Amino acid sequence: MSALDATWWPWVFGGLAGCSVLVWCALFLDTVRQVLRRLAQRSTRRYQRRSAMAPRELASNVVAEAVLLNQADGQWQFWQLVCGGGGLTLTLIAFWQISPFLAPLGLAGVFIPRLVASMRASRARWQYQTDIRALLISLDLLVGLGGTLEMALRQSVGQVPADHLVARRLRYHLEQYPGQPEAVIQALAADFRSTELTDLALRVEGARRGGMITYSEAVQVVARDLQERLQQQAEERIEGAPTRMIIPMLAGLFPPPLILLVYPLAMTIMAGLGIAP
Amino acid sequence: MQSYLRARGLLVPATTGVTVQQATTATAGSGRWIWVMPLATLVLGLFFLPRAPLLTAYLAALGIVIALYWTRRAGQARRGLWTTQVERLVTLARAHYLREPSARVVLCEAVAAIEGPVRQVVEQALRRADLSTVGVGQALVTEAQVLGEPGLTQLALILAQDARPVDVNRALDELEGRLHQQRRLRGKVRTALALQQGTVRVLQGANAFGVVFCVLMPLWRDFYESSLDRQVMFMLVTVVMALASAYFDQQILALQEQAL
Repeated sequence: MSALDATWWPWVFGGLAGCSVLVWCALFLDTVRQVLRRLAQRSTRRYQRRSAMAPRELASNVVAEAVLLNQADGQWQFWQLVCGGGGLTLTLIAFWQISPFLAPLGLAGVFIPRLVASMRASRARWQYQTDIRALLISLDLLVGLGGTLEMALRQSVGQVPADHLVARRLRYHLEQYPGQPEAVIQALAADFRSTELTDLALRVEGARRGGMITYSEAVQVVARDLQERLQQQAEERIEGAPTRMIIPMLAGLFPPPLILLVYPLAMTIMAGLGIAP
Repeated sequence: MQSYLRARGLLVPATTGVTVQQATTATAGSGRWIWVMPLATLVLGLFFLPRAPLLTAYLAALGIVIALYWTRRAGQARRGLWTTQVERLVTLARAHYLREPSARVVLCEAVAAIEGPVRQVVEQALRRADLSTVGVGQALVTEAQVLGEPGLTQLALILAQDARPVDVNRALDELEGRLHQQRRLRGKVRTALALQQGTVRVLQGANAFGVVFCVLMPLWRDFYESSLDRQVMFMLVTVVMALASAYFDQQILALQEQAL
């Protein structure tokens, strides 16, 4: 039995390890490719700046996607490389005695920055949608209580925490377009790619031209639409959460303590059978 | 470049004062219990000290990281409590406004029934209005912005307007309705996430038990401290545990925040 095991175990380990090497190396090479591409883009941007061409993000008056999703401050590809490399080194040390071919499992470290980035993006998206909702609700309140749209926009800045992107951009646009509330709303809509704000801008424009709608009605309709949409989204996410999360949760949190407890026993037994180092 | 970006609202201003929110977060984080975790992991690490000082240092560092994470999380979770207080304040304000349509009277009478940072903010606004020529509503607008609670800032905006009592009452009614909807959503979240939260806590407990068991049981401890590769294996598995725990905890927290 032990002779059979001794013959077959290396092949089983080798086969599994070979597959994992191929998959993980592809993933790692993809990350390296992304880093190289980014470096190439950076040198191109430097060249453009040297040749007196403004970078696209700054030349445009619209917030870049990376800023919007809270990704601009992180060198994500760099951290993916660091985590992948670190994971590879650690697993190489950990599996050196058993089978160094299992080391590519450590490349799973590249997923850590990806997960962090996606969580930050999702939170940022939700944050600015919530801020836009707060802004629209206060516009609705203020215009409904008899204020002008310009005054309502100025007072609504305080409805969003001062360090949030929506507040900063609203303040900036109010400075850029004094006395033009429609232009401010249009600029904000462009910044946040917000269909609600675009809709509001169109309705406000219609009201200004003497259409069949007042400012107050325009703001009220859009604020309620957004409120309903966000609430519906939140309800859908919350209702789907139990089924969506339970399996990854069990897969992520159940095996580690099991490995921690069983690994020493398994190694001791395998050493006793003469099939482990 | 920085001034260019700051002028366009693309950079956070360099100096922002200490807000009530930050102060509350700091208070939540500075609790003595938060240091139990690094202390416990340090004690566990000391078991490894004679033969594997690397694991001692690692466990001490892991404890500090977990404590920092919990400090941050305590601040995130506290907002739910403020929302409940704001909802109570709005309900009381509306009831008092029907009797006496005056912002000062409404706030003075409603504030007695609430507590926590929301009460502090309202009391501060009343004091500020007493000491200056600013109206109570306007003072509350300024103070409420510090807390960053949307319900409170909306209440402040309504009370700060020089509008007809009928319109103010309608606006208060709408605000109360919105907050009521939020409370319903929060209730849904609590029910839907009860199973998830329970499962995460049980699995986190199992993970903690696994680590403590491996440290305290001589057979497991001897195994993990016997060579560098086994020490690294211990570190890898515990890092995976910590990361998975933090990830699922954040997912649940994000869902709870969406209901606020």
